[in-house]
Amino acid sequence: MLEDTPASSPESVEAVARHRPRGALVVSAIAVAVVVAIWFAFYFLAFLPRGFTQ
Amino acid sequence: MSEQSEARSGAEVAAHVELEWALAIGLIVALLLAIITFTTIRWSTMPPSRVEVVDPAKLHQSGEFVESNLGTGVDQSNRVIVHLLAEQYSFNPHCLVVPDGVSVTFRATSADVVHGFLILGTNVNSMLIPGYVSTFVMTLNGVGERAMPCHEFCGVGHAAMWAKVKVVPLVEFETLMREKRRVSCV
Repeated sequence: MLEDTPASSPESVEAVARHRPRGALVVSAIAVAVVVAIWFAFYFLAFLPRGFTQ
Repeated sequence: MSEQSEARSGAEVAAHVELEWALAIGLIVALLLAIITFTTIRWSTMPPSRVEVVDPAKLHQSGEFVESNLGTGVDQSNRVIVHLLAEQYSFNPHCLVVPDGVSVTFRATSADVVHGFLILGTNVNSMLIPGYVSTFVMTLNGVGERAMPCHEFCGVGHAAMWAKVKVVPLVEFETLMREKRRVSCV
């Protein structure tokens, strides 16, 4: 079977690429969510309470 | 949906997902910019501090940083203002008195090189640059003493450049202010 469809054959790559990359999207979304959460934490818990010039 | 995916080529699926991802990131960036814009307009927020210049060679002769004006005071509109001068290798005054739980405006500058103004355990953290006035507003909560080291390397005596901030109850602060125009715990 491996000889029929080697993993690097154009057909097998195309078969994989036709599917929506859900796993990659979930991992990326978690990474972005962490970064945005840290931004919110700094903005609302450190930057704004620090005060500003009036 | 999987049927649609089956009908598309791998390149089309990748292009579609990339477009969706770009839109999602675009929305996040737009949200962050909207929050910054809102707080900027609503509260006139700007990075501490605004650009305000002062001649570092004449600090001791005139203006708000003359020696008699350093320390904590209360202005006409009842705001508590601290004037602080940093120079190699000390803060003047080297012991500040501020009231507990009251909004305090800090105005500080340097007479020589770049110094740092940091009150440990609080959000007070600013550079003091000769020629510029660093201004920001902060409320210190909790009676007690806090260390105030210089945190920008300013020369051989940098490590010894320490001061302290004494947070006192409001009643005690008012009593001190009745006795003097400017208070400090030097």
